[in-house]
Formats: sequence, C-alpha cells, structure tokens
Amino acid sequence: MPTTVEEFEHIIRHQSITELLPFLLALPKRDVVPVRAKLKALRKELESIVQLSENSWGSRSTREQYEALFLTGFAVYSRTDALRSLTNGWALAGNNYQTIKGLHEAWLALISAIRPDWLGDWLRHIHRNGRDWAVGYALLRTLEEEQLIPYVPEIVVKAVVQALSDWGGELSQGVSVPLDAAAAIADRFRADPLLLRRDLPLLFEFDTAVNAYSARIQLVMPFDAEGAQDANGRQLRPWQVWEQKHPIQVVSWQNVIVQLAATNHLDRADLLTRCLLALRRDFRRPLLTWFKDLFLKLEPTTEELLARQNELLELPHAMPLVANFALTQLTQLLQAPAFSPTVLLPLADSFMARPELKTSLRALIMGLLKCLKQEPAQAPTIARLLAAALPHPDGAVQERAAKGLAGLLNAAQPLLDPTETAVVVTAIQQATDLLGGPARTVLVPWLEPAVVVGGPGAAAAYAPTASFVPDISAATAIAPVADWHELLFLTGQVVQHRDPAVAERWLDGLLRLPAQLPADFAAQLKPYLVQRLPALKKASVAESTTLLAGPVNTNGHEGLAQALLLSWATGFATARVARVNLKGDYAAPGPLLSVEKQRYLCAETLLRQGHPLPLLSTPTHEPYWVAPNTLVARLLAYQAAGIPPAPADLAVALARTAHSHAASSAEALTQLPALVDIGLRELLTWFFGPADAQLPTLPSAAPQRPGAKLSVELAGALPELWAVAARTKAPLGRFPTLPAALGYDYPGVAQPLLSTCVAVPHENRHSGIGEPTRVYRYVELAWDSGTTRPAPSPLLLYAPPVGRSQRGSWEENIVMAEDLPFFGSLLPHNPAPVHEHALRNGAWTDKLETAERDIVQQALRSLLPAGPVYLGASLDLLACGLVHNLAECRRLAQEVLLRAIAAGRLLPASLGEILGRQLAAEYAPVPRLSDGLTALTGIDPLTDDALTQVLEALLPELPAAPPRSTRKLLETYALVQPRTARMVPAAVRARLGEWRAVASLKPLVKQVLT
Amino acid sequence: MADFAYAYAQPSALTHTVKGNVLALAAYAEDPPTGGAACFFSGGLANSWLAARGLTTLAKVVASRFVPQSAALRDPIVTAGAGLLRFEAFSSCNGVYARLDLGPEALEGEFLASGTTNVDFNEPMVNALARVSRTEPVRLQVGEQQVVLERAAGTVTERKVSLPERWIKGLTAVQGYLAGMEERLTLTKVQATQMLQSLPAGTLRGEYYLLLRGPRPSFVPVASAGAVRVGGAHRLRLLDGLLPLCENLRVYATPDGQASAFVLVLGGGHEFVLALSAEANRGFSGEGNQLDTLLDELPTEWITGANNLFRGNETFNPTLFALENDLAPEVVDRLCASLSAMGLLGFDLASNHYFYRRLPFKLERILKLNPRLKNARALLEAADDVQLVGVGNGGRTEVRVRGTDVWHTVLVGGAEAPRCTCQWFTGHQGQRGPCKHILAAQLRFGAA
Repeated sequence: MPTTVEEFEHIIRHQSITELLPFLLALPKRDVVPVRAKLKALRKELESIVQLSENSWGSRSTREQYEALFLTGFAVYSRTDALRSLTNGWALAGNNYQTIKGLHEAWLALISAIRPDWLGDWLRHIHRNGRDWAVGYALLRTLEEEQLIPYVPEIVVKAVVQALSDWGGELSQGVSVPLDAAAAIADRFRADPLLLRRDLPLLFEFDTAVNAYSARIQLVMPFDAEGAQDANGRQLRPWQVWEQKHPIQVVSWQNVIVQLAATNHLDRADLLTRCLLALRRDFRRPLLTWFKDLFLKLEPTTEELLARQNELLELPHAMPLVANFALTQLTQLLQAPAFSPTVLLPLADSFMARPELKTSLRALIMGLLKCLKQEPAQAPTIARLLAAALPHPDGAVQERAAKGLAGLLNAAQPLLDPTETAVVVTAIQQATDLLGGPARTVLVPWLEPAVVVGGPGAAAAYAPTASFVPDISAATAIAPVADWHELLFLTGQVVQHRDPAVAERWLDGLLRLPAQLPADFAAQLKPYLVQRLPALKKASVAESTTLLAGPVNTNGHEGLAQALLLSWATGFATARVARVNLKGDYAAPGPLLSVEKQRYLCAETLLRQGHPLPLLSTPTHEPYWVAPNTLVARLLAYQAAGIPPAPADLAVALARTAHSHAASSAEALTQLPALVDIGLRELLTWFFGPADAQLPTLPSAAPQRPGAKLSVELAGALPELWAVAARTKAPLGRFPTLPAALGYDYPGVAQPLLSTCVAVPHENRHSGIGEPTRVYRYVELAWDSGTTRPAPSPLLLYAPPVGRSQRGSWEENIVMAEDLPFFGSLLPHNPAPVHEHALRNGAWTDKLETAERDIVQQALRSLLPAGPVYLGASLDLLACGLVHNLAECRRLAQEVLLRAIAAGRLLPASLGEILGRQLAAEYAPVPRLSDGLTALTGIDPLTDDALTQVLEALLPELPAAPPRSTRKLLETYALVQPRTARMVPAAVRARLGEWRAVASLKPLVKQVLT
Repeated sequence: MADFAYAYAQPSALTHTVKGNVLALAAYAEDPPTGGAACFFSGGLANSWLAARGLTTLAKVVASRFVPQSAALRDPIVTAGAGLLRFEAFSSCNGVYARLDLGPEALEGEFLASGTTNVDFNEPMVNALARVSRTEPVRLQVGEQQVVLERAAGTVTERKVSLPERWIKGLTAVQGYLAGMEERLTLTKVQATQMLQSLPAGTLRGEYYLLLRGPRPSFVPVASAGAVRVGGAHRLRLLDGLLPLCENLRVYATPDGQASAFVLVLGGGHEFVLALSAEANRGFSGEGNQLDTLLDELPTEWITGANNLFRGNETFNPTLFALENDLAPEVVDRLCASLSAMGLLGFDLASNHYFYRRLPFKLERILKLNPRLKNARALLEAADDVQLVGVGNGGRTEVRVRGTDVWHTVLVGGAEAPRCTCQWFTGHQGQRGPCKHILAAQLRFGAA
C-alpha cells in the first residue's frame, strides 16, 4: 500500500485536481508536514526553468500539474511558506475565470473546508506585490460571505477596479453582445446594492489603476473568419473584416459612473464631493487627471460649484494639475453673485506666486478685474490678491497683476482708502527685485527710485578680458607627495581613474620617491593589484610573481596607470606601458591618447633606469599649470643627468606652461642660458618672451619631411614643438613661416584652428499600412576642419579631429566620458580640439543617449576652471550645452556661462551667432534657451549686459519667418535689455521690423523698439 | 532582516463623533515604558488643517522611495514629552528623514505620559487627514485610554512587517548628522515657494548646490562659496505641498556636505524637518558617522543613569548636564553621540539641543546594528589578524589588518585622518565613516 506521500506524488505526476481535491480534503494532520516537503521538492523539479531542447527553455510541468501544485499549497503550507511561495495568485484573477473554472471551484471547495487563517494576509500580500491583476471580485465576495477573509477595503478596491474589464470579457463570450454594452454593465452594478454603496465608493479612497481600466466588448472572432476586399479593391485581413461587422465597444469607468449618476443609483452630489476630496490626495498624476475629468464629465452647475467652494479652496496648494483645475473652477465662480473673492484672500500667498501655475492664474486675474468692474467694493480684496501675484516668475502673470494694480491705484475715483493703498504700495515695493521689465515699467510710479534698474548709472558694460595670466602662487602650488604612505593611498584613487590631478601627483610621487619605498611595498600594493588581477588573491608568492610577470590585458587611458602599477609591483622588472592597447574594445579613440601613452612610457623608462627625474609636464600649480621657471629647472636637471627630454612630454609641458606669467617667465629667461640645446633654448626664449614677439626665422625643413614620430629624438621633433608652443602662446595667431620649418602645413599650424560646424536638416519618412506618411525631421551637426587626412605628427597637440564625423560606439562613448578630463588637462590654454572631439561624439544631433550626455557634461565641466577666453569649439560646446535636451546639462551650461561672464571669458557675439544658427536650423526648440537665459537675468548688471549682447547677436541670425516660440526669446530680450545702457542695434531693429508682421510678436516688437 | 510585528489595539482613524472629529493614533511599542502607559496625549489641535497637512506630508515621505526597491510602509514613531509631540519617519529607502514637531502652541490638551511609540499610519486614516478642512476642529489622541479593555476583547490589529535593521539604524544615524549641522540659509515664504522651480525636471543624478542668486534661490550643479550641497535634490519635491504654507524655510547642512536639512517653520508651533542623505542611493543607515563615538564603550552605569535622568526630566541640556555632573564637555559630547547612536536621543535643530527619545524597540535590537563595528570586533578575536608594524612621528601608527585574501595597510592615530588600502576606504575616503579595518586598528592600538 502506498504511503500518503507516494499517493500524493502519483496524483501530481499522473492525475489531476479531480483526484487531488478528495485527497487533500481527507489528508490527516500528521501527514501535512511530509506532503509539504514533497510539494516543495516537486515544485523545484517541475517548475524550475530548464533547457527543454536546443533552443527552448521552460518548466517541465503540465497545466494540470501546475494547478495541482498550486492547490496543494493551500492545504499544507504554513503562513510563512504561503507568503513566500504561493506567488501564482493570478490564477484566481477574475479574467482567468473562464479559462480555469475547474481550479476556481476546487480551490473554493478546499478553502471552505480547510479555512487557513493566513488567507487574508496572503491576499493582502499578493495584492501589494502584483501590480496588474486582482482576485476576481465575485470570488472575493464569496470568500467574504463565507467568512473566510475579513473585509479589507484595500483588496476589495483592486478587485472592483478590475471587475469592469472582467465583465467586458464575459459579455464578449456570449453568442451576441448587447448593443449598448455600457448600459448592460451599468445594469450589473444596479443589481448589486452592496457593490454600489459599499465597494464602488472605495475608488475615491485608494490609489488604484481605475484610470487605466476599461471594458472592451466585441464578439469573439471565430478561427475560420475570412478576409475580404473593400470597395477600393484593397485586401482586408480577417480581423479587419470582423471589426467592421462587430465594432469594439469601449466602456470606461467614467461612462459607467456617469450613467449610474444619471439614473440616481449613485448620488451625484456625493460623487462631485468625492472627486474634489480625491484631488487633495497625493495620487499619481494620471489618477488625479481621471478624477478631474470625472468631475467635469458630471458637468456641475454653478450652484453645485458654489456648494463646494470650500472643497475647491483646499485645492490651489495641491499639485499644479489640480491647482490649475481648481483655479479654473474658482474663476468661473467669480461671476456668480453669491461668490465673494474675499474667501481667496487667506489662501492668496499659497497659490498666487506658485511658479508652475501660469495660464490659470492669468485667467483668474482677468476674472478678478472683471469682478472689480461689477463690484468696486471688492477693490481692497482684489488689490491684495493682485499684489500677491507680483513675485510670480512668469512675466505675463506679473504684467497682468501689475496692470490691474496700476488701474486700481490710478482710478479717477479712489477705490482704496489710504491704509489699503499703503499696504498695496508696500507689497509692490517688496516685490521690486522680482519684477520683470514690463511689470516694472507699469509700476514705476510706486517703486522706490533707488531700485529702478535701467538708469545709466546702474548698468555695467561687459567686455571679455584681453589676456589671461594663470595664478602661479603659493595658494595654487601643488604639494608633492610627502611620503611612501601617501603614495600608497594615492594609488587606490589612481586605479579608480577619476581625477587627472591625482594621477599627475601619483606619477610625480613614483618618480621622486623610489628611495623611500619599504621592502614589502609590493605586498602592500596587493589590495590594489587584486582589483586588476583577482587571481592574485589566492596566489602564493611564487604564483604572484608569475602572474605579475605574465600577460595582462590593459586597454585605453585607464590601462596606462594600471600598466604602470603592475610594472611597479615587479620593481619595474616587467615593462608594461608599451603593451597597453589603445584601440581595443574598451578604449575610446582620443586625439591625445598616444601622447599620454608616451608620457607614461617616459615615466616607466625613467623608473626602470633608476633616474629620479620628474616628468617635464607634471603640473606645479592648480589645476594643470607648469611654472616657466620650474620647466627650465627640470630641463636643466635632465641636462645634468645626461638624459634627453622626451618630445611628447615636452610638448605637453609647453601646452601647460603659464608663459604669460611675467615673474616666473622672467626667472626662466635668466636660467635659460644654462641650457645647452640651442634649438630648445631659442624656442623657450621666444615662448617666455613678450606676448607680441614675432616668430623668429626657423630653419627650413627638408622637402617632403614627414611628421615627427612620438619616439623621435628631441632635435627631430623641434619643428612640431615650435608649432605647439606657437599655438599655446597665440591660439588665434598667424604663423606663415611655420609650414616651411615643418615641411608641411596642416589646419591649426599656420592659420588658427577654425573648424566649422553646420546644422544639416534631415528627414525620414515612414508610412504604415493604412496610415498616412509620417515625416520625422531632425538636424545633425556636421563638422569640417578643412582636412580629411590625419595629422602628420601626433605631437601636433592642437590638431583637430578629422572627417565629417567621428561618432564613437556606445561603449567607446562611455569610456570617452571618463577619459575627457584627462585629455582636457593636457591643453589648459586652448582645449578647443578636445571639445570638438567631444561634440562630434556627444552632440552630433539632439536627444542623444546617456553615454553622449555624459560626454557633454564632462566637457562642460572642463570649462569651469580659470582659463583664457573660450575659442572655437569651446564656444560651440557652451552653445550645445545651453540648448541640450537634458535639463541637467542646460543647468551646467548656464553655470558655465555665468562664470565665464564673471571671469571675462565669454565672447558674447560669437556665442550669440552660434546659438542663432542652431535655433534657425531648428537643432533645438527655442524655449530650452529662452527659459534658461531668463533664469539668469537680474543677477547683476554685468551679467545682464553680457546676456543682452548674446541676444543681440542671436536675434539677427534667426530667419524672417521666426522659429516657433521666438516670442519667449524676445520676452527675455525685452526683460534684460532695459536693464542695460545699450541701445537696440540696427541689425536687431531690422530683424524685429520683419517680425512686426507676426501677430504673436507684434506687441513685444513694439515694446522693444519703443 | 527581522520580522517585526506592530500589534495595535485598533487601527488609527479619524472619526466623526458628536463631540467633533477625533484623530485617534493607535500606538505600539516593542519595548513599552515601565508602567505601560497606553495614552500619551489627548487634546485639541490648535490648527488641525495645518497639522493634517504636516501629517499627510509625513505619510508621503513614508510612502516614497528613491531607489528601485519595494515600498514597505514603516509606521512613524511619535515622541510625547516636554509639551511637544514629535512625529518621525523615514522614506522606504532610508535616504529621507522627516519630522513633524507640534509645539505647545499647536496643542491644546493634556500629556498623559511621556515616551516614544510607533503609531499606526494606514491609508484610510491618511485619506481622512487629506479631507480635514481649514475650519474643522480635530481632537488628537495618541494611544488608547481604554486599551486594556479593548485588548481583553481581543481586538488587536496585528500587522507583521519585515523591519529591516537599516530602518532603525537610520533613525539613530540621522541624529548624528543633525547634531553636526549648521544653519546656512534662510528663505522667505516667497523664496521657499520658488526654490523647487529651479530644480531641473526629473531625477537628478549629480550633486546640486542651493544658493541665493540675487533674491532668487537657485540649484546649481557646481559648488561655490556659500552654496549648500543638497544630494538627490529631487527628493525635495516631497515638500511641494507644504512649502507654500511655511512662514520661512531654514536650510542646514553638515560642514562636509554629507547631509542637509530643511526646516519649514509653519507657524503656530508647527515645524517640519526634512533631512536628506548625501545621495539618493545612500540611506542614512549605511553611513558610519557614529562609529568613532561607539569605539569606546561607555560604562553601563553611565548609560543607565543618563537614561533614567533624561526620562524623568523629558528634556536634555548637555551644558547643564555637564555642570551638574562635573563632566568635561567632550565627555558629554561623547555620551550624547553614544546615546543617540543607541536610539536614546534625538536632535532638535531649532534649539540646537538633543532631546530625550527612547526608540520604541528593544535595546538589543538597536545594539545589533553597526555591522562594521561588529566585524571589526570579530577581527580582534583572531590572534594575528591585526598586527602592529610601527609607530611613526606624532603617534602615527602603521598596522596590518587581514582583509579578504589580502593584508591591508592601515594608518591610525596622529593628527591626520586614518587611512586604509581597502576598497571601501578608497571609494569613500572616510566620508561614510571608517572601515572595519580602521576600526579594528583603533580598537587595538587606540584612535588618538
């Protein structure tokens, strides 16, 4: 005779719930635990996802087995097991009723007999975790009637919400569907008083998906339905024919509720109140919209609104969607004689200055002014309400409030007594700093004279700085690594590859402190080494030595420091930097990557040779400046050690040197005579000399001279070093003699680097079956640096990226975002080529993805430290940031703009032209820029002046047919221009004259031009 | 994670009675005060509408989460005493701490007992709170007066929840941050309303800094002088319903920018505090800001004595306490930090004082927190897992501590901050408290 467990297993494997139910009902208590253990084992065996065939994965259980296992759980599981393991509650969902009717019936029979005390908790648990389904409402009611579970509103409401679509499904299953499905469903509600009175009102109490549910009623299409041809001879698919014969009826919850209210089965007054109360909750936005729409669908009369004015008055401080709705309703009430605007007064501060409310506030203000005409006695109340709107950031709200107040204060017959007038004037004066141009103009008579901006005395004129001198002082001096311990802990940060400054200090420390290393330094490095070589964790000493000497893949910029660390761990017995792969899958191609590798290679060579010399390019002052006198001192140290400087290291050193720092350069010049290399001495003498010094006559190169390689001797690379020094000293200078010295010309050598960027419109057309053709338009930025051939020498640090575009892959762009700060640190005087590289990859069109966004953000951050005026691609980068689709990028760009203005680094006309061209080509929508610029106005007169200059260069670039939302840009100009002493330029006047014909711009044009 | 059962005599509810509306907050403490006081406060609310707004915002914080994890509602705790009711709660992710303080001006009733308890926050009650109108008087009752009778009738509302240790740990850790904060900005009502406008839309990934630019508050993504670092600034949107109601807003931050707090002065004795962790994905519970202070175990009699004294007095003034007990200020500071880490003290930014608040959980549950300290002590149990290498200049001690398959170099003592070669320290550079290796070294060879 089989045991109970064996019998159970037999049923599960070979029979169905028909045999299982009597077995479970008769299961003795003593056998519950063994059956539970068997159940767990069987579930593990049958329900686990396994490979069924070559390309097929799934569970081994049949539907019968699944049902049987599910059912058994309710008979044998403890509370803990049930909450943890019975996760397939969807089997009890209302929409599954027809599909697994047998299971439902068996489950109910089992539950009624066993009555598990955890059933209510289990239902609550699965309802919390299951988002898209609920236990069928009818089943739930049965459970409640049988007293198997208590009444839990939280569960019931979810079932009620879903009941609508369940019933829609049931109606669709018949041989015919009712002609008016909404009425049929409403009848079902009418037939169930408990549902109507107790459960349906729960929809207003809980955060449910009622907004997303509807009933779709349509006769089920038979499998053998056939297609046909329509009148135009077009072949229709079977479902298209079926849809024409049996159109789908969609019944929403709102349809049902409105029908029930119309027949007085639901109390209309109660529904209206419940909607308003639900709108006070912190529900999801779509759900709040649903309550709002339901309220409007019920079409409340003025009397009904008046009866609920207290509820409406609770809403203006809710989220904008609700507040706008409430203000619209209250605006309607303003015209009702029984409504007094006085009730708004206590709440005025809560909503009249809320920045997110614009249109509804404008309408409310207009309503208040109408009300004033009808009821002049309300003047004190209305004046206070209008004054409360003055701090509002929206210009139109401010202007309407200001005009209303001006009308009140200027009324021929005084509407306000002196006390009221004083209160209002005080409120106006308190809001002075927040007033925009139009409101300010209207309220000038009541503003305190001292704070009226726009007088010539208050304005300041912005001009970019003519020259930039880096701060080479004790305050910015970079402290060298103090000792071995500092070097050790710095290693951890270097491995993280985040901060170029840390990497530079570490390199310097490595080169200076070899004598201080303890004997067990390699062992102490192990926590960092295992991050790159996890196999080291369990390795013995001998195995570690083998691992460290063996091959290790190191890629990209990040791999340079890793390679040097691995090399260091072997006492530089194994050279690794040369083997770093710069073109692997995890390396982003960068214009300066090979130069960086050469620097690390120099460091490794020096360390292997045991020379305690620093790299020439190690920064001496923050962020990445090299003091001229220190550079010469380092060169003299190399000379004394008999080691020739590496051209790549020297090229970067030149690019980082603070040549314009007079004191340090003068000291360097006094040290230069000790330098033996004549060519280098001549270069540095010119480099540290006066800013306007002409390039000396350089020896001509041999015809067809190839560009210097990275590994070349110093003498062979001297022409390229001259090119680097020249472009560092004078980014916009012209050096016509340099090509002869180099033996070739290249963009950025003789002439300043002027890559051009053109916005090219594109469009894609798409048409689906039976749909009109859709046109998707977008704009790409096409770069042209004047050449398509790569730079003849990698030592030309300022060489531009080539080709039309160099879009990297997604992986490359992720890596590039991390590498950019390192590349930017190499060219602190003129990082435009790095920025062009970033733009080509990260902003070639609008709305790119996160990897590209990170590139733009990193590049924008490189504009923050002190430096010279932004040139070329750096300005393009700022422009792209200001119109970027991501608000975070725009905010960063705005901060860059403010700091650039404060430091005199901005060329406003150039930036304005770039922005104008981008907007004209519809690269980005106008409000992205206008909203950002408006937020920057009023900070200080200098910023206002610079912004005005930007806009004055921008506006003429826009076409005669203005892009959408140009009004916003013009509003910004109208706001900021009067705060400066600038006259409207002729080019702007001309463009505005053309726009006078555009209705939406006409008033603004008039305002600006007068 | 430990299963914890809130066992309330009945659910909290806002009920309409012939005498008016009554907000009855059901209370439950795992470790009830001696004497088993069941009712802490009973009386009227001076401004029931404002108090209801504060409580619904608190409920909103409780229901919120800013990392991808399931939202599990943990009931707020309320502390009654010294004429105040303080409701404290956390977001599900432990990164946002909120407290509603109802002062004497906001309450018109009787404190029947002092102490701290969990209070049941259920959806119907929050629903009802949202419906409280401006003119509607509401009586508040924290705990039940006839609790014994009702329990005898067997109407206990038991709600089992998985109460992660981090939730309790966050409650203790945040007090340490609040105690270290300084007031940085004060915004007017209009500025407070405008503050959120300058937040970029959506979830913010990077760091943001709040500053006043002219009269306007602005959030900028770059640090500057006078700007307050606000990590995960989008979490401030939790306040959008309450900001228009405040009289002013004070902004506090720790000197290292690792936490910030926004205090909304709502008037009439109502104050709402929202504290934010350093980043949206960092809960207060993961911070080790109090580990240093827990290194030296305080004498048990000190803790017991202080606990009894504070419980009797309901308030706590460290200066007076130091004077009365002839203790050095640094000893009292250490005592405060230890007591706050043990869940016995909270911190009030407005008065810049600790207040007595014994968390309504068993003390052993709280003491089990701080896994880093536990792991550090485990390292000390082995004979050679923490080895002295040498003592350098100024008492800088070099130690080797066993890690996972590696030995870490640890420097402790001296004037400089401790350092370690482990990944935790390298990643956070001490901003989230010391690692277990540093703690072990400090425990064995001294922190100073």
